[in-house]
Amino acid sequence: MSATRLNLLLIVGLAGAMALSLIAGKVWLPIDPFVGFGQGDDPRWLIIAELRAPRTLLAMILGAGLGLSGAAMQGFLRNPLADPGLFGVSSGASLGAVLSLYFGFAGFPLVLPAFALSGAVMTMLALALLAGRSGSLILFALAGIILSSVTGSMTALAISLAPTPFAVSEIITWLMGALTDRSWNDVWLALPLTLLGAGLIALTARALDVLTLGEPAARSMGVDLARMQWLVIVGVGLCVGAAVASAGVIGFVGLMVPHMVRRVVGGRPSATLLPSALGGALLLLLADTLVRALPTVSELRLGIAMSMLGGPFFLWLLFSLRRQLP
Amino acid sequence: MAQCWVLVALTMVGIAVPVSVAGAPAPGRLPPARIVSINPCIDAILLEVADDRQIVAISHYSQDPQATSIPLDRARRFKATSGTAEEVMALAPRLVISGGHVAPATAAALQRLRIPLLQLPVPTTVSESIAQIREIAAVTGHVDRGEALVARIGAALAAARPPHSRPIPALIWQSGGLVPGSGTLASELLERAGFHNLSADYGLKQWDVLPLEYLIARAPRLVLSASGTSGRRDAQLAHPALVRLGRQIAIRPFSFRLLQCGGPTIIAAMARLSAVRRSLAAS
Repeated sequence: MSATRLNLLLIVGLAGAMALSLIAGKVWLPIDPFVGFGQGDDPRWLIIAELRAPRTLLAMILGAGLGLSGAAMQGFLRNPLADPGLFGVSSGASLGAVLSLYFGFAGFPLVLPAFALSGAVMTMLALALLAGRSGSLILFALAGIILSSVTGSMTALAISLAPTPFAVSEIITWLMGALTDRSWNDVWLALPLTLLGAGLIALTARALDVLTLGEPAARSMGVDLARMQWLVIVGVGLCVGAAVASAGVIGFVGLMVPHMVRRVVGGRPSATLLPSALGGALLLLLADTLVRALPTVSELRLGIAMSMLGGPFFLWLLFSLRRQLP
Repeated sequence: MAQCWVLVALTMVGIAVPVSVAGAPAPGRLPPARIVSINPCIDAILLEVADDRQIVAISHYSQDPQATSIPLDRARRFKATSGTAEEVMALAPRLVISGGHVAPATAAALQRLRIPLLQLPVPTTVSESIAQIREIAAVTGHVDRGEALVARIGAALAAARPPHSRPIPALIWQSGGLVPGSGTLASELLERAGFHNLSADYGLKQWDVLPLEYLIARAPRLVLSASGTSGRRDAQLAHPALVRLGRQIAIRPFSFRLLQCGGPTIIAAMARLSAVRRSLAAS
């Protein structure tokens, strides 16, 4: 199957999943509120217009950002196990959000996302200081791992210092990641950041292809590795930062989707970018619809659902990699 | 922040529910109907003061035998939600009452959908809990039932009041060694029942984890082991060091649900505490 056909297929899938996402949930909505379009008093119409629609769009925006980031990361580090969380941006952003919950600012609108985004920005700045202008991939990955363990331990410290068990559970529940009760405000926050991030990543497409030949070859072919590194960092940072700010930590999307896509479109990094974004959007939208519609008493957190899908996927990846080895 | 929310919520309640707050509703006017509670502790108070038909839904925790603060058969008569804006919205309530720790996104969603939200923080003293009962009674239009509940709580506190003897050094031990200290409702109930909460003597904060070493160095007369309903003893309290101190420290079970809420739960908690004190005096 060609890349174009895959993209078309994914877009059709997305349209179907959007329709499903609008009607599915703890409260199943039949078609008739859609017919009475704009009649403001029906609570079911409000549920669709103010809760389901922003949530559906947000799942697609964040899923696309995470899928695209994963594809860029795996191409850039030339490692199939690279994940957007590797730069430490997502743990930095969650530290920011946890601090706003810890100090009790999160009741005011937009404070939590603002804290999360400043956490993401500060992590990117720290990454710049650590990895410098070297353009070295190893140094860069190591700096990311150091940053994510430092910010992770500070998050754990904030949890352990929380004054009451109720505050602890509030923080932990947020950390698990979910799209429950998100609003249009979250959409307007995440959309421009993700678009900007995606634009920056798209600029690296050709350089990513050249990089498959190895760093020296890419350098000799005129690729500015340092510039490319910063495009990838800032692009991934914006997509991941927007995702954490509006939904908490949702892992594995960026890890799984590029793998699935690569089976169809082959290994050329630039060819995986668009289908990974579409596939990420589809995966997260389906997962969010599923957690909402599952007959559990309280909603399963989206972040947990993704990890539960991600674990077995990792296992399968390991076995298939082993089979390829002699 | 919490106060700010309560103020905002109260203002909205004032607009949406024009029924008089002081006393029974005027003849010909119905008390505000369609209340949704998304907190199990609020459920317990609401069921005492409101008419059943005023309550549209309660928290799903109230239908969980491990967590409920109300009789299960009574809880099962109501619809339960997990507290997401979506479920609440579908019930078209006139008022939502929640605890102090609502997911920020849910509180914002309710505000956007113009559903009044009354947020009542976790009470840290008996008087705070009584103020909350009066507040809920006022918004439901049943001030008299609120006062009746307050009087029952007052009677339970009076009945558990200790004779004039020295307070017994005691500690409440939740699984994992989490201990409620000064500034918690549990601590106040403990002191009112004739015990002295040792948490502050150990230098612990409002809620803190107590290392076993402190406990052994300065042994309380009583440890109330707050476990679930299973009656299992906390694994850490079976530590050999504590078992050897067994004669000095009395370890008594204390149902976990008695720690979670104020309101009518105070009555059951005081009965249990005074029963424990009497049994210690007898032994």
